[in-house]
Amino acid sequence: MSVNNIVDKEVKPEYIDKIIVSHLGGNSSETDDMLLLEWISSSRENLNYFSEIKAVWYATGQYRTELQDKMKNAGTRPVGRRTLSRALYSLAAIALILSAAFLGFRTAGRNTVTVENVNSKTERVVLPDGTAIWLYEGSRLSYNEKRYDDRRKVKLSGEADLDVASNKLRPFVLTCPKITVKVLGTVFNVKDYPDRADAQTTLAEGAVELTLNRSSNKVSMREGQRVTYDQHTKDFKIEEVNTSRLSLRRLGIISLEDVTINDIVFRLQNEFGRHVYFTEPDVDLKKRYVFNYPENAGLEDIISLLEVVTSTEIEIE
Amino acid sequence: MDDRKLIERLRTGDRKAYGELYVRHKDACINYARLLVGSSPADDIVQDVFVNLWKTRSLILDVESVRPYLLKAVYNSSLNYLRGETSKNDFKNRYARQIQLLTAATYEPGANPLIDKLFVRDARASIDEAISLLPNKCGDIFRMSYISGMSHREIAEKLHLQISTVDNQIYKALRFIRSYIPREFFNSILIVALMDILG
Repeated sequence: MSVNNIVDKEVKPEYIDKIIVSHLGGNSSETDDMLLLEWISSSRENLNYFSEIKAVWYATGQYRTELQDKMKNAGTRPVGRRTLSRALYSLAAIALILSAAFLGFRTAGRNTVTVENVNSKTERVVLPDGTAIWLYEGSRLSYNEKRYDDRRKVKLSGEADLDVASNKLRPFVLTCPKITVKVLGTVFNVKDYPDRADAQTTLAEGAVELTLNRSSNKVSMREGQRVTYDQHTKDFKIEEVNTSRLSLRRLGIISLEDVTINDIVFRLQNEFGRHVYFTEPDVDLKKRYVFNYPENAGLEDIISLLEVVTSTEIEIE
Repeated sequence: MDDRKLIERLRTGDRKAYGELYVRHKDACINYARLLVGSSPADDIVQDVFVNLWKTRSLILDVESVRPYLLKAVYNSSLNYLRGETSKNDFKNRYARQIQLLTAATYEPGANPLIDKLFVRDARASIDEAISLLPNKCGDIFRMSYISGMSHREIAEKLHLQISTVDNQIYKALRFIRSYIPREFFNSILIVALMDILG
């Protein structure tokens, strides 16, 4: 049960994926079926993988039929994106209220909502259009609640990851101390602390346009790029970076990259306020890991995951 | 009324209770049978299973739900059907039939946690939850297919995409849902699968 289960020595993984898709859709050729049969016969993992995808395909089909029947009976049109997003709006509103409980400050004077994160833990804020913002420690954002639907303008000071709801008619404008980022719907990180000389934007998905405040200098960014602006040298630096952490964030996964087991344990102790320790004497403290865990997981679950990833026994006090 | 009471009544020959059980479980049985044998013979297999439920009603044990019992019966009849001569003409080619046989054997209720989640218990909430977690584009495409019932071609035309892109996004979504449903196993599967679909 791993990524490797779809990597086969003889058939290229991308090709197998294509075959599976066409097989499920009923469009596979005889050769496709032959290759698929060979592939699933070659290992138990391959067979299980394909079986499970197929089971999900049929199970979701089951609900699709139920839904369509219901709609036919009720004499309504199929539920489209519109109805769904309305439900999403109300969810977002609830999430916003809930998140307030965890935040250091949330003030709403004259329709301006201000959220400031004084915790060491990243806080998630959901705006009325479903845009999600993960606010880092010591960062602050504000927006006008009443006018947000017409003008998607948000002020940010500090660092945040953003997953912006797509709306081509109303671009999302993020104003920071030194730079302004205009967005059409995307996932990116921005770091612009007032007390630092550099301002940084990293783009995982979509397209953004970066403008220097009080200037007409513009940079259009591509996916996977990081642009750093230095206030002293007045220079832009563009580099290609790995943005999988940002994409994972959107799926509710926290990703720690290039960390030692001590870094992970330290972070978890801080986050959960409990003591975590190794029970084995020979732990490799120098080894570096990429460690991912669901943001809403409990400490016990995270620890058992960490035990698997690092092959180390870990206890919680 | 819960299944247990309906089964009690069924044992005494109550036709109304039988009808209620049929309405309650036939869809799950038919979809499960379709997974096992494909569309055409699924309805017949399920009809037979329900006829047998009536015939053997006095033998049914005191159980919480009749669903596992029905699925097991569907599983047995389906495998018998697939192994028999009549099923040969249902498939495009002999490989497709072999594939069907191999996968069907992995779907035994009680032995496969994913099947239990998807068909025995109601996985609707988990599926909806998984769909809500999909990345924007992938989620939109999957919802168009899943909720609005649009064909891949219609979605491709509407979004100005290649059909193969739509195929791939739907496949990504399926892979994600598959890894999301059996969350007891998320430790090993979810994370890896997430890396996988994003990779």
